[in-house]
Amino acid sequence: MEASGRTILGAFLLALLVAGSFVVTSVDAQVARYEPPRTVDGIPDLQGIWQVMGSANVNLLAHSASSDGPAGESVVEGGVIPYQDWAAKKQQENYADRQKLDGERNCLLSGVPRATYLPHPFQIVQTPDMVAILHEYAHMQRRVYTNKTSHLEDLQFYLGDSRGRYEGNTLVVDTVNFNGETWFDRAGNFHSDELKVEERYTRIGPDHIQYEATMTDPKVFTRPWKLQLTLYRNIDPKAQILDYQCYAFEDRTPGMTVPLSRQSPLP
Amino acid sequence: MKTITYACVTAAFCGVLWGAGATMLRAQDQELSGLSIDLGAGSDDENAADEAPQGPWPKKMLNDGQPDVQGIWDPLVSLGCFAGLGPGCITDPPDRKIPYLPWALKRKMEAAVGTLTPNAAQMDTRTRAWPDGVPRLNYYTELQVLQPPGAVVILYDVHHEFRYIPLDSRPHLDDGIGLWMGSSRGHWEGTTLVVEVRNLSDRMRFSLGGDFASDELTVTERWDFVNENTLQLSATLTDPKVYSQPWTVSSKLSRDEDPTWEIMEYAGVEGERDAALMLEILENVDEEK
Repeated sequence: MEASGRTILGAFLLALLVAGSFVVTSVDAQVARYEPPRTVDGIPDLQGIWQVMGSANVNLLAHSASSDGPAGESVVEGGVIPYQDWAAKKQQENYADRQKLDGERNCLLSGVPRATYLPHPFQIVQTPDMVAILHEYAHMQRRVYTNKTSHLEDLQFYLGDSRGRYEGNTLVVDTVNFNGETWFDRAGNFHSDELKVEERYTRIGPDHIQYEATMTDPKVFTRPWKLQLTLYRNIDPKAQILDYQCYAFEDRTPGMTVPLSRQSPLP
Repeated sequence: MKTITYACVTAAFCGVLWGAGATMLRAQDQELSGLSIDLGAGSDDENAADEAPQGPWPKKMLNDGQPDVQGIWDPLVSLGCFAGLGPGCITDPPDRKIPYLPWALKRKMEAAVGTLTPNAAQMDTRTRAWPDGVPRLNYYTELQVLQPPGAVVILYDVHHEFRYIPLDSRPHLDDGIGLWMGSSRGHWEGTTLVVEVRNLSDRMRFSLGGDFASDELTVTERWDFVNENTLQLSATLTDPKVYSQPWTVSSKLSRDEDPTWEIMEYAGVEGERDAALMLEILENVDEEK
């Protein structure tokens, strides 16, 4: 009788465990389960050509379709960016004047983590000392040093200064030293030069990476906040990074307003 | 008078572009410290031996079988190459001139004059901080060579351009795709990386002198890593639409002496004001007349 009671209790606990495992989100389960291949140098292999789906670049938060781009669900945990009061007003001003102020419209360097969810592909290559992220958008290159070096001092960059390390199968990248001139999206969501970004890249299958970025900026936000996205591999064997030098399109360049009478096009 | 004014602006924009953007001060330091003028760069390799360090080369082979040539390489700037492709850097044909077909020479000369005016069709791409393409980027900016498995990646400082050069035998892209940095396919011959570049944009310029090619251009580069400190680089340009025969431009790079040095972010377009400035000057000159 006693043994039978234990069996019932054991079965009950087992059932709880099984039920519990279903509660875990499918992505987290995949993260735990998938063992990614390693490069010839023994690093978790993140190499390939990747791109997001969805319209996080239009607005990180839930948004309807507009001339800015397609509708999309929030990619921000909790669905809110925790702005300080002044910053919430500033974001509204940015939004109102986005046609003029958004760097993407002028094809400027995009900042981080926006580089990751621009609607353009990028290629990750890895050596033991560096992860280089090669973007089709404006030929941006991100150099993530994985050689145990420290961030530089007293310098600011559009793309920040990135140093990375591997935690198990995850590439963790800390980026600081931003110039405060980039936005998170076309909706005017912004940060200051005190932004710190921690990105986590984890393979969850042969052709998918779970991407997380946590933003900390005491000048602008009341607390750190996080976004999560899936990166999809371009599996076309012919795929390669081409170019999108949008700043070199004819209609974007100052000087292209030269009066026609002065032009003498070449044969 | 106009031309003189434009020349001044042009001299200024070179400096401005080098230092443009967020990394102005650091970038300027870097350019100045790395700028050694060698008029004969590329045309001689006899002093390579003098610089050769002792010991075996390459020092090691990478896990995928490539010779390890990684690091930051600095160009020994040739004034001839930078201002316009002249005898300082053209190593073939023997007369050291680009063998333009007659129509193409006429166009090149027009562009050489036009490069100093705010003429939409003729202004040098560099003036607008547009990409330099191949081989122009090879002879005046520092570059970092990375060797991820199965490929060589070139990270250029100027314009944050890059090239991914796969070492497998995958075919080239289809015709009809013009890319500012072209599309590269490479293989190793000992410690020389041989790269064939196609699909280059016909808007590319090779120099301030208006040198150009068509969309039929093929560039064959030889990245000859002579020893630990010396990279001898040549690019042979074949384009039957524009040139009467293939020709070769050569340059030399040396390994950056500081092993801790890192390429900085180059924000070019972000700080670019020269095209508008040149236009403004033209307007002023017209008003004075």
